Formats: sequence, C-alpha cells, structure tokens
Amino acid sequence: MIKISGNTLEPNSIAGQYKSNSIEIKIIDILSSSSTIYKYDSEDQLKFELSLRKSLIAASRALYRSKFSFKVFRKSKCNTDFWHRTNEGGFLLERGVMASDAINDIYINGSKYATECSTAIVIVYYKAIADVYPKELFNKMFPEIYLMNWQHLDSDLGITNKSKLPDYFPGDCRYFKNPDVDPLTPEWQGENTFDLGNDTYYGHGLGIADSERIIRALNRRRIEDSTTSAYLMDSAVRPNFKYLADRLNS
Amino acid sequence: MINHNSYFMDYEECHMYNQSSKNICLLDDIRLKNGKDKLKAAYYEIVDTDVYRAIDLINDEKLQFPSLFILQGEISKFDLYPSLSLRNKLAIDISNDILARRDSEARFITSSNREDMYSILKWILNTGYLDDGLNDRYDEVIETAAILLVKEYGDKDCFNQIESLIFDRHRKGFFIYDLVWAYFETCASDNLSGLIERLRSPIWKDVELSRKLLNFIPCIGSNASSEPATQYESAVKWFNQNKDFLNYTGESFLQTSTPCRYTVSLESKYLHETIPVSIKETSRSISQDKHALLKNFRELDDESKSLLSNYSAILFQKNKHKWNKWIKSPMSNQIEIAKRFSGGNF
Repeated sequence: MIKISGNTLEPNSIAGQYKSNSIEIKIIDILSSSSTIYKYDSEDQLKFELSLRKSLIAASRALYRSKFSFKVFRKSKCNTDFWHRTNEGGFLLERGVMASDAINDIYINGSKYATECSTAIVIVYYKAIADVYPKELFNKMFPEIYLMNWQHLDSDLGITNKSKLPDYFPGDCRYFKNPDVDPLTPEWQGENTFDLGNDTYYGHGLGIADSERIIRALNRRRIEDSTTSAYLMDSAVRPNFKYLADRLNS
Repeated sequence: MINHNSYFMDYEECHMYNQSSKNICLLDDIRLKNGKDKLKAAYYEIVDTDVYRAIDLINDEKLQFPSLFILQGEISKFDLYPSLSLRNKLAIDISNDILARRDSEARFITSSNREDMYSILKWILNTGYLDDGLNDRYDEVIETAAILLVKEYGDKDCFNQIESLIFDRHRKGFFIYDLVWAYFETCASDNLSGLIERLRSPIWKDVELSRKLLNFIPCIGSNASSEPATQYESAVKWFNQNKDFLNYTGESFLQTSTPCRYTVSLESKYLHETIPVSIKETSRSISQDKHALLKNFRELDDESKSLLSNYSAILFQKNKHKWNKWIKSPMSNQIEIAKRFSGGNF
C-alpha cells in the first residue's frame, strides 16, 4: 500500500502518467499490492524514486553495452584524464575534473576502464543520479568521488543494506553469494547485481542474465566437488531515495 | 658494471660465511643488505662463473621465498629449473599458477600432493610475508598463498601473518580486501583478540581499520568516536562475555560497505552451548531437555530473548549450581528472576 502524507494513494491516480508495462508501472504495482505500507511525504518523492529506479536500470544496461571490462582490483584500469588509480586499485576523481564529466567518461570511453563488480555497482549509482539531477546539483553534491568497491561511498547517497525485506523492486541492488568460491578467484565470492525486473539482473563480469544463469555462472567458480550452490540473498542495497528526492526538490 | 667483490665470495669465503651464519643464507644476505637488483646482478655473475655453486646457493634449505621469487628471471634464462630442489620447483609452479590465474582443471596446485603443497605454501608465507610490497606480482602470490592456507587447508597458525599483512598494507594504502575476507572466512572467533588489541594501537590507521572490522561489537559500532583506551576496555569485556556464542555471517567488503561479520547467538548464550545454525542439526546435537528449552526460548519476543541470554551468561559464570537450577525452572520463572536481577544486581 502507498500512503502520501498519510493518505492512501490509489495506484490508478498515478499509473496514467506512465506507459503500460513500463518499469514505473511494475514498481507501482508491487508497492500498492504489498501488505507493507510505503510512506512518502509527497507525490514528487514517490515519482523521484520511480525515476531514479528507472535510471538505475538504464545506467546498468548502458554500462553493460559499453566496453567497460572486468578486472580484479589489482589489475584495474581507468582513464587518467579523469581519474587517478590508487594503490589499492580504486579510482579517485582527479582534481579540477567535474564529477559528472568523469562519471560520463566511463560510459563514453568504457574500454579505458576495468574493475570488479562492486565498483561497477557504485558507478551505476552515480551515473543514474547524474542522469536525473541537474549537472550543477550533482557536481555540488559529489565534488570528491572515490570509486573502490563499497568503501568511501559519499554519505549523500545514503546507501544501506537491508535484510529480509517484504518486497524487492526493479532497481534494487541484489547480492548473489557463492560460499564455496574457488580460493584462487576470491572475486567470485559473490556477484553484486542490479535487479532489472522480470528476474533479470545485471552483474559486471557476468552480464545480463536471469537468476538461474547467474547462479550457474558462480557455481562454475567454486572449489572442486563443492555441493553448496551460490544463491540470491534475501537482502537489498538501496540509496536513500527520499533524501535524494528532497535534495532535488529543495 | 657489477662490482665483483662486493657480493661475490669465493668458495673459502662462502664456507666461512656458512659457518658463521646459521639462520640466513648468502643470497638472502645479499638481498637484505643490497636490495633485489643487486641480488639479481650478483646471482647472474655467480651463474656465469660457477653454475654448480649457483644451484647450491639457490637450493640452500635456509633460502627465503623472496630471493627465489626475485631470481625467477635468472633461473629461466640459464635454464636452472630442472636443477632446482623440489621445494623451489613447487614454489615456482605455485607462483605461476597464481599469476596466470589458471582454471582449476589446468592448475598445477590442484594436481599436486596436498602435503607437499601445504608445506610449500607455509614456506612461501612464513619466509615471504615481511617482504610484502616488493611488487604487485609478488604481493599477489603472498596474498593467494595465505588465502589457500586458510581456505584449502584450514590452517589456523597463519593468522598473525595475515593480520600483519592486512594492517601493513592498510597503512600503505594497498589492497587488503581479499586478505580480510580470508581472515574472517576461517570463522574462528578466537583470532578476534588480535584485532581487539589493535584498537589501542599507537598508529591511528590501525585503530581505524580495527574499528571497521570489529563494528559488530556494540561499543564500537555505535560509538566510533570514543577514546581508543575506553573502547578497547569495553570491547575486551564484551568479547569475554560473548566469544563463545558468536556466529559468523559471511558478510564481506565485496557485499556491503559496513559488513557485520559476527552476530551473537542468543540461543547459544541462553543454553551456554554451541547451537548449529541449521535447525535440523540442532535437534540431533543437543539433549532432549535442552531442545525443549530452546523451543520455548524461540517463541519469546526479542527483548525477552536478550534479557534471558544475558542473565544466563552472567549467572553461569558466577554460579553454575544456581544456573542449573534456574534453567530448569519454568520459563515464566526464568523471566521473572532475570527481570528482577537485570541491571547486574546478582
């Protein structure tokens, strides 16, 4: 159920603003049919979440289509016109470079970049926000970006990992865990993915696939004779949609 | 131009050297005193002059892994591999496997004798971890040797080395995440005391990292700004009360920004017994009486579970006789007694 400022929102009242079968409609369906009450301060707040979730999916697909490749942190690479590669394999925004330009460059010059899946996820977050925010606001909010797995996240993203959620939505970041990973390839201990809807996920290094195929791919990277399968965890990582909406609308 | 006399000894000098130096061999001595480039240059000259001596030196039992790793180019150039000792051959094969990131079917590591492999990995880590930072390839070999020891061989003696590697790398800003993952994957909560010690390290970066790794301890997660000494004392107290009841979650830095690696099993704390995570296993591994207690305990709300488990742990430590009596009383009595004494007045 959706409540805006304490009042129940009939899905039909907002659904007309979106194309049928669109991602937004799917999200509205999950929100409104849930037994959980999803509260928003305003309709704009809800619309922003729909918009950002759609943008996260678009940014995932675009990164997949770019020539951005998979490399372990030790062998990661970046375009040094925009980023400084640190000793641990992260990408630190170069001084004097605008964050929006640097994030966009990853999508334009993908072949100059390579890293692991967790950093790819963070790139998608920044790109999705850059695409829904005015350039000035994005650069003001994120003047210092350091891309290195889940570390050094800007607190304005409000990223949190929540377990045992009642509902999962397209645009959620989901984790496939591989408990019996081959110790020589620890980068496959799990796969961070974006839920693209319809049991389709984007995971950097594995591509776009359904959950079964992602699990099969991870299972191929287990210790010999393992009988413990990889699995999709009952948790999701989400940015603080409401805070990001309020920053846009303030 | 290499100065022949600076590191190249003749047989007599070398013999004297061996007599006087029981713990370090000539090649390591050259490396430690003059660096890796001079070791390479010296070895090149030794091979050029007396190949048999060069083979003896590289096969010296006391040789440390960094010297072998540095001299791989020379070994290959002069085709010395067939003359290497088994230890050296295996160490080179392992390094090549790691650096080539071969698929498991094509790996030398998986096809070799496990005991041999274990002792070589130990040798690589024990004699090599202090030289971490030599170069990227070397660091990868050291790191993977540590991971293999923990994950493949369940080795629990290498924690100190792994911990040292993690904190040393963190101070230099180097990659730590795979080592941190391996360190916790042992699921051995005993080794946490080493991390807790680092909460009062004089090096601030060590304090920061240990706080990050120990964020599951309430006094650290909720109060990251408190004084290191105060935090250390609170962490030690918490650890002593809960170390026997910790469950490993498997969360890692790859998965989330603030992985919570351990949770306290309230069930274990309540029964003062290790409770396997799987419910099926539980019924097989604990007595019928305890299984009944657990069944009732699981029906309680979170607040009551926390109250009972804390009371149980403290009472068990103070007076086992009283604890035995208390745990056998009806659940309502247990809660009443625990409530009456909550606040530590017992």
